[in-house]
Amino acid sequence: MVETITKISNALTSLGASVLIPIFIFIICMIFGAKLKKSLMAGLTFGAAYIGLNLVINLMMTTVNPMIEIMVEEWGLKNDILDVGWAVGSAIAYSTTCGALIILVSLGVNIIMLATKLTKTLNVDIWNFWNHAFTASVVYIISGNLILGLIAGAIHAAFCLVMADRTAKRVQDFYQVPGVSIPHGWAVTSIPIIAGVNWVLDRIPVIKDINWDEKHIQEKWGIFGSPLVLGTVLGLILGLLSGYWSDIPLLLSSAISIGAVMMIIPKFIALFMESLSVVSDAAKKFMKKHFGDREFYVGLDSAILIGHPVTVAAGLILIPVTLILAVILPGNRVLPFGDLASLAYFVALVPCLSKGNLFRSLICGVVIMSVVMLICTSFGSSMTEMAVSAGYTLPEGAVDITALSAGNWLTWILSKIAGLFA
Amino acid sequence: MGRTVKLMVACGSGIATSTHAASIVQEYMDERKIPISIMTCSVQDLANRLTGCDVILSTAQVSFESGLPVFNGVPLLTGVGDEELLEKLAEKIKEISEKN
Repeated sequence: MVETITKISNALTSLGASVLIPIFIFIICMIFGAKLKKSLMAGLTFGAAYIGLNLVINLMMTTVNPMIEIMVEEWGLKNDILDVGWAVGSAIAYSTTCGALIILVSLGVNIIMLATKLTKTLNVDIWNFWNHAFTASVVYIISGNLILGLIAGAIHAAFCLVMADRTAKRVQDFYQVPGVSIPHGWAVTSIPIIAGVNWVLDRIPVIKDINWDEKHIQEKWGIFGSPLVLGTVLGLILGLLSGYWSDIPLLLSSAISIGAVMMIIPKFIALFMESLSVVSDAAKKFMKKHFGDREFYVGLDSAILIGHPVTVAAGLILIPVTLILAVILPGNRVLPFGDLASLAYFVALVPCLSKGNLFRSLICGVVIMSVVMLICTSFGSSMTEMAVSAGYTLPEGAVDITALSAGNWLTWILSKIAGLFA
Repeated sequence: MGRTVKLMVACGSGIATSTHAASIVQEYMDERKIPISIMTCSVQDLANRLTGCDVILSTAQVSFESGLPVFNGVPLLTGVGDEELLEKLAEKIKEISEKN
């Protein structure tokens, strides 16, 4: 019996993620009652997205890696872990064994907690289950035990629901989104940090009354909200730091390449989202059919909060702040890159928890980014191993990958506990 | 039939919820043979990407004035009030399409 299961599981694993997960997505869609044609398209689209991601990871790594290697060597910088951004990070987390199973685990946790009235949130934000998948995969890598990994993912999912319930009223009133709560896997872990920073600031005279105005920041600096422009400028900075000034054509072509990377990656990742849209729609209908008779909050992505003017402004100002932090923060090895375009996410909940104050958003931002980078440093090669185990081919070199959005303390604590079982 | 209307769908990142909202709108408009061309971007990039656009649909708050009609896309994500939103959006798009 055990032998048969091992044989089947080996046979499945040998198919590789580009075949296995499309099949899995197809089955999940069918379970939740999506139409055959749609389920088939969802599965195939995932396969296409996987192949596409392999292309763009390589494009990103082959452009940025040589620069990092020179910077580390010439300048003595320690930043040898490249932040590939949440989009690539999520796709990697979803391509692992744990990632494939996490949709069922997270929805299962949600169903049990709704049935036992432990939560009022119905989480339909399937994309962001990748945060749970990442936690599960890190624990799986550390402990070598799939069940432990999935339990860790389930704990992360449950934590998200509880935090979403607790912040629901404030989110609904502040952002005018009735019936919504935010169980986003990263955003909820920022809540205790924000509460802590606010607690401290409220006790310092003068500072507690600072309230900055954000009106003109987006007008003046909004161009850096474009991933293309941000990428090109980053490319120039990295190029100059890598000593490309002696070779102007190389410097300029690197800048254009990195701008292109930042612009192209979201287009490829959107394919994953398209595939998961079908799962999300089917799961939404399924859950509403079974739990629709009572009052509940619909759990959504923190993306719906990003447009607040304070958050947009903070997201822009935090770009240079985070780069400087990355160099001066003791012990940090992360080079912020992919997620620089999404820094607003890290402070998405601050305005609602501190009355729309830009000063508070920035202070929280500095604390949050410091914590995030140190945790990502502590994860070390975890995401690289995850990517390799999911069958992605990474270029040779000493550079590891991470994603800032994966740097949350909950995953870190769970991984440390898992270490005890290793 | 009028010209194809350009709709920009925005969200926090220009990747996740905007893709989802865009696929719902595309399916709805295709069924009704309303000519529409949809693009997606992030709200932070929105102001830089509006050349040639007719209508904005955003799942995040749009904090600046562009002169274009803006629709709130959150109902498409929650499934509460989504039919009503799609009807209003279709009406606006038909109106723009036939005016030109």
